[in-house]
Amino acid sequence: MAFFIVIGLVFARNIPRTQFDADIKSQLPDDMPSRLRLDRIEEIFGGTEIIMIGLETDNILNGDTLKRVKDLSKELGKIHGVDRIMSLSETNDIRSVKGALLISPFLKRIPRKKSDFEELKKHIVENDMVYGSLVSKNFDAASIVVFVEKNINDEYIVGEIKKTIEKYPGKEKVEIAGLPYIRSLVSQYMRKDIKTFMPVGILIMLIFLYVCFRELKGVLLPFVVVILSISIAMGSIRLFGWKIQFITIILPVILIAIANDYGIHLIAEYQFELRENPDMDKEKLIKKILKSLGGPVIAAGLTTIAGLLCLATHIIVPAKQLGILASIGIAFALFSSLVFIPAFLAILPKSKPKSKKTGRGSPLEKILKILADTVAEKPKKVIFASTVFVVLASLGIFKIVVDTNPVNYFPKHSPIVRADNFINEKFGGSTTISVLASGDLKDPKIMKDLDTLGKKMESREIVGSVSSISDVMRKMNKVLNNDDPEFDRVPENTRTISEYYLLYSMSGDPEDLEKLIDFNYENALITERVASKSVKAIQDELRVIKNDIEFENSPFKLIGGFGDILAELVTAVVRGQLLSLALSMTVVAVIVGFLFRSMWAGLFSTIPICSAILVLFGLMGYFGIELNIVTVMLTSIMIGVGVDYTIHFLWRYRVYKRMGETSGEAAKKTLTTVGRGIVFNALSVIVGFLALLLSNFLPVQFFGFLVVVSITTCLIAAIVTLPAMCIVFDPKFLR
Amino acid sequence: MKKLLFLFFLIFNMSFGQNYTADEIVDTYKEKLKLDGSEAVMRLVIYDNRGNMRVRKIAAVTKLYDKGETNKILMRFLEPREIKGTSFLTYNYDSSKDNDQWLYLPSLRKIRRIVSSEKGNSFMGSEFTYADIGGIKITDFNFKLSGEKMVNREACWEIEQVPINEEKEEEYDFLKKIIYISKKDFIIRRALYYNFDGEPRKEFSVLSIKEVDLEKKRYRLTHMVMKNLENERVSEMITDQIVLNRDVKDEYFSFRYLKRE
Repeated sequence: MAFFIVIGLVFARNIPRTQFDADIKSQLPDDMPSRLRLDRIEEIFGGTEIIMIGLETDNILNGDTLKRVKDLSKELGKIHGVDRIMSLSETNDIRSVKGALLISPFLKRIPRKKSDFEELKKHIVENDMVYGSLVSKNFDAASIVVFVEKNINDEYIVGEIKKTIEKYPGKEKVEIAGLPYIRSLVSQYMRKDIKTFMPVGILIMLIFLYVCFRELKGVLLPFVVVILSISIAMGSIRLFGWKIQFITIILPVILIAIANDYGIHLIAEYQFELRENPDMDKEKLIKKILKSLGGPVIAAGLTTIAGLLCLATHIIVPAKQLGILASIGIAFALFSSLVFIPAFLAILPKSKPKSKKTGRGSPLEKILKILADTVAEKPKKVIFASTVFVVLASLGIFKIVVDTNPVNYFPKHSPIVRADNFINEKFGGSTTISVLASGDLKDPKIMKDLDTLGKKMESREIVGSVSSISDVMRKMNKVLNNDDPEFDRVPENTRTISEYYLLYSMSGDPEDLEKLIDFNYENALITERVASKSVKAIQDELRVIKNDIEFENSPFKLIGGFGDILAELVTAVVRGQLLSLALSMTVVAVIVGFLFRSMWAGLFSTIPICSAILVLFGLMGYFGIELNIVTVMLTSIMIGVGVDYTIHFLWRYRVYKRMGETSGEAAKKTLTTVGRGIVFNALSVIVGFLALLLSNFLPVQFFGFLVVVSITTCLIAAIVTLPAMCIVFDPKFLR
Repeated sequence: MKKLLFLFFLIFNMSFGQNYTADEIVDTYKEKLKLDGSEAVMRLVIYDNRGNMRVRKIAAVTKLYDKGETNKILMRFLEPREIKGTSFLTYNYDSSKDNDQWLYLPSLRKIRRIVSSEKGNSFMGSEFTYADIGGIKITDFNFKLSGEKMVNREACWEIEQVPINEEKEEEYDFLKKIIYISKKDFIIRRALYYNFDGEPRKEFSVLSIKEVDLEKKRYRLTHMVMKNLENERVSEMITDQIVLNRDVKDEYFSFRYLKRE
């Protein structure tokens, strides 16, 4: 016992030192194609991530608001980790003044007179690079775009930005958006979730265990196992050099819900045997329990571990980690349950048995008896009804949507979603898709290709804004030809383009062009901002762009950006789902096959699981719950956990069959004996995962809800449909 | 007449061995860089912080006007090939009047006036600014002698150069500048530019100096380096050849000549 406690304490000491990590990129394998594409872009152009700050008021063309934009822009530019700033005061306008070319910030001076404001408004409207992007079309909002350098900590940079905003207060309403901001919130909420889940989950577990067993022994022994399992699993994070990820926050809940399963079965059996044989010696009693439950408990543990380990097939790094950590926790729980709980039952005084004569049986026992009678009498009808239900429920599968955008992790009313909607509506979005072009960027043909692609992008509804060097070229060309609309096109010879680069470098700040073209004029980046949270819409957009950039002598080399990453995550989620389904199903079937020495047993046991899976996906479709990086893990857990009920039922059923009972009679006796433990187990998982409903994240809440649904389905399949199948088909491996 | 009085004042001070004021030192330094006329071939080398390099080769002609108050400079690009023939003309004024600048674009056969309203703007995409290239507008700053220091084994005065108001700070884009001027020849050797947080942002170094006008003891900084301490970019202005020519033709600074390729 001391041994277990010491191990638990050693691992627990690691937990506070573990770091949090909300970075989407670090969730991706280093060799993921979209990540490699983004790395290549950032190598040439520096950090491409943006945080957008929106200032909203009646009309931004007033001295106070413009001064605030200018002050904020200047101050934000000084923050370490800020690569550059785009705003009215930091972005140059290109225009002609009395025949002279002027490249100057829009807000070089804050206007004072009404005519000055009118002039400024006119300049803004005439500049596509600003109008609708840095200033909303109806002038009720202005934005400041902060480019973040590579590898800057999200919470640090967001914290600095917030401090700067507080330093320059004003009457404008301020909204912040962008992936770094979302990720910093994810980090904060993670900590809140963990602080909530642990105590609530444990409290729920304690109450539940007491309600089930009505004695402290039944509460404390599983409780200790669970706590130690959590300590070891969470403490292992640091040992592996990992960090707590977004989905790692459900690890304690998984262990609270599942790690006590083995203890529950043992104690349920202990109470049952005690009631049947009140005078039996403690030693014999415990040996009998281990003999009858040892096999199925181990098999149940192995299937759970196998299901969790199948998470390793996911491309998402955190899912792999979660699978391994949970497996460690469950393995420890299994081991300590079979060693620790029996040892303590042997040491502690025997519980007082409830008198057989006085009790009419608990409500649960009554329900189980009714179920048993029903199944035994009408097994075929039960099978038919089950089949109909599964078919109807599974039709929802066709409505399933896959989504990986972290902004959809939050409820619609939350500040982050509101801010994201605001940025999307006013400034054309904060998610970026970039296209890299390579070649001689002084070549007019290439410049023309850039211009064509940029215009195509701008014409699509989903695209909020486009930035490209070709826009600068067009603007300069027009201005240098007396604002003649005829010259609103890119120059047609190499020399002119070269001269415009030189001219810009002599009149403006060369850093202006840093995000558009590289130092040697060999690489250019066209970046569009996407005003949609739907990853499907982003995927469609990527497909269109891909089609647009494939032609003979195309200068375009690759499409990248965070939109690209989100899109690839969708594919990865689907692939991971299918793979983990196939793998976990196979492994579970093999384990069950070994347990019963029959391959048919393995196949037979997957039928309830398959039904539950179909129902699960169907309900996801019906309720509009997306498949994302949290809910994608559900099936592996469900398969590993849900098959336990099947294993326990079949094992006990076979015992009674081999004692000479009829199929119907064996089913009845199984349900009224081990059925209690099965139900307790399922209910413990259900109530354990209820804690997830308290999460700050929608996917985690949905996850909790779906666990309840799927485990309930597995339970019903195991105690209703499965007995009926055993009676009707009477398989050999159960004789 | 003004120069004569200045000269007497200088001699008077030297005779009595008194220390110079900051203003006197800076005035002298400024005069030391004025050439009646010159012809030169220069290279502007720009390095970014990723190991890339860009070289522009320039032929330059200069001449003083208005009794030394105006410096007219014509620069013609020799390399790289795609901008060969492009020309830049600038009239730099000692007074607070903004400089006049024009660029000739051969492919368009047009002369375009450039309004470089910010003296802190980059010169041709380099780490030098127009103010660095054009010479000090003394009326824009307050100078204060803040000590003495050895720079490259040269005894120098340390002078603090501060824009006269916030508007000038914005225009030049620095809070203050510390310059080191040699006691021997009154030529700058080094400078540090401080950003608005009071931290050094750029470092200017002079690697070589050439006395071009032996008669009047006038010099040219023939190798200058500007290092951006924030983003690690470096630019160098190297004068490969330079000769004094008091008889530079006025024609060089006309629009007609600007157009000649």
